[in-house]
Amino acid sequence: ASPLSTFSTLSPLSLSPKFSQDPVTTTLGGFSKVTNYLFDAFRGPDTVLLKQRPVGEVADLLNEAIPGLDINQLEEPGYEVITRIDLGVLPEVRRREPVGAEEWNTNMDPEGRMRNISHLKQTIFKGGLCHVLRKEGWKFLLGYFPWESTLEERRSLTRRKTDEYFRMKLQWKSVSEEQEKHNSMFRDHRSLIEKDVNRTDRTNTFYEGQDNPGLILLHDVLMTYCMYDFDLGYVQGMSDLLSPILYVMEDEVDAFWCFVSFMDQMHQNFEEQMQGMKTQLIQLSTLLRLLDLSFWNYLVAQDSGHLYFCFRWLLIRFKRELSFPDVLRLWEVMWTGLPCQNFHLLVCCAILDSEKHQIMEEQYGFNEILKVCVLLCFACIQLVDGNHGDLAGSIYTVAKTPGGRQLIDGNHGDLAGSIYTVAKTPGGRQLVDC
Amino acid sequence: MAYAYLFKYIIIGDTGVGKSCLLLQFTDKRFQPVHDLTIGVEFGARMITIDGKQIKLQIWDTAGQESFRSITRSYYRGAAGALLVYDITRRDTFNHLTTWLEDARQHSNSNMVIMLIGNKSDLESRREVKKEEGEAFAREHGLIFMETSAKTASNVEEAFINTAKEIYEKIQEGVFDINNEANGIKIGPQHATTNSTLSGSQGGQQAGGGCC
Repeated sequence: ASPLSTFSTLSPLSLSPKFSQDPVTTTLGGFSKVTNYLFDAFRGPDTVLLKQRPVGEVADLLNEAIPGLDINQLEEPGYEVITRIDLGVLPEVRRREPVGAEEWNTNMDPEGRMRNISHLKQTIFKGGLCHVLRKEGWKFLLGYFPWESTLEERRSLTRRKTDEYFRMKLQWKSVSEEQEKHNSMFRDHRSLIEKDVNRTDRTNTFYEGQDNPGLILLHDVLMTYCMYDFDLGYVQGMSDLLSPILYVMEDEVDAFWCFVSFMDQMHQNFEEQMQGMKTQLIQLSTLLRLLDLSFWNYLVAQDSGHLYFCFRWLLIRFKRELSFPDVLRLWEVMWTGLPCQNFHLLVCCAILDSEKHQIMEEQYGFNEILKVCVLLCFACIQLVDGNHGDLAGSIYTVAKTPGGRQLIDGNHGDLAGSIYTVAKTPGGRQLVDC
Repeated sequence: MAYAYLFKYIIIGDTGVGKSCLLLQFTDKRFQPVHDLTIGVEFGARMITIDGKQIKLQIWDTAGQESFRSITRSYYRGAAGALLVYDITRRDTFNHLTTWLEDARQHSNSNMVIMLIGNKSDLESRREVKKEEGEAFAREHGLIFMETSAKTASNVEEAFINTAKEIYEKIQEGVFDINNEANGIKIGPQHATTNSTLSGSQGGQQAGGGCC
């Protein structure tokens, strides 16, 4: 896949004023001659120090470390080597309180239609949902319930979807032993699901113990999904994606249709030959290269430029790296679709940034890098909890990456405008424009 | 902790044959039937002693899922030892060994020591693959062979340690170039004078003699 696809999926598009006014001159004049772009890694204070310092102080430190954009025109006549980029002051980031029932209800008209949807999504992005609201809110966020539907329309939708679910469930329930004997694909899916249900979140009260009804629900929904999408069937990782949804919904049918919606987003991750995963890894690599070239170069030199060590993060959206409550929060934030479709790649960059110091300082090689990333969970929980309250930490970390700082942009209110950031960087503008 | 050598291992084989359980039994000496299924790769490490030398085993436990293989293969790189695991109660896991073996040989170094493991030997009543079949497969392909039980811990220590012994012998014989980390062996801080100019068989012999 071309690097372009990374940025064509990054939205919303808000390019720099100069760029929008005269894209051709800006692009050609500013960047066609650029053969190389370099962002210095942050020097000075180490990551740990940064985490503990008050935000204002951190901003000062960052400002000191990155005084401005340095362009070196001497190395090769006619070519510019951009070595620094002005990142300005790191703004303070505060997470909002989760959206509660009262706030949710004020955004609903008497017929049950949701209003101010984009504002509502913004607030969910900034603070998530209260746990009690998740059961309803997730159906909207995942697209099972249309935002504009009335209560009555949702009731009839639910009835229809319930029938449809049980019709599909009956299909696999009624497969005889004889039939199964002659259907190896069905047999394989069934046996893998049976195995994996016993190996998914078993320390969670919803799934723990021998005869927990949660296990049967997990099994039945996955089997029914096989009937819904037999081409894909069941692939490992899908039980991880379903488990939190089922935990929140506490209902087989609702969980199924929410899972279907989530799978619509994640489908490519599980397709044969992992093409979707490979595309994402390439996109991530492109993004990392843009945000932090020195680190990217380091990884390439260690034969780790393919970023395979991020495989699990991407396949199941940080499900194993974060604690269960953090997964619920991160996912609902991502389901708002803000600020861009590939936000999860920025989260990857943020995590990598938090590990970069150790990796480069200790001169980790292929195996050590893989090890750090596989054993990451603790670092991550810290990252999400931290002193910043849930996600703020990780967004804060995004902010520490050169390009990422722009993500938390006062003018945009919050994280919006990653494309703006990308567009402001030399390679990015090239990519956006091409 | 200081060690004389570090060996990189990989554990491969079909999903559900007990790879993660073997690793946990070896590193933590416990059997945990309800662990999460492996996505991508997991990691474990333990120190063992061979010939009076401390050897650190760095073990990569890979996911068995077929479709992940194009990516999990990349983790094989530079492994000195591999545990190729099947489940004696599931014939198909035995039938897939050839594919796993080809994959392992193709994506790691040719000197990698491979131990074939028939796991779940505690489930004798459900056995589908005879011990003799495992032995024959191992003989045919030049592998070491053992039947183990991650549940009862039977032969688990031996499987990991015998593999290490074989690697160690290869170092002594000079088959492994220990100065090339791509072979999955790293000389540790505990090791006596590590001369960086050594290479090939010469390096192997000298390294074998030195220890603090």
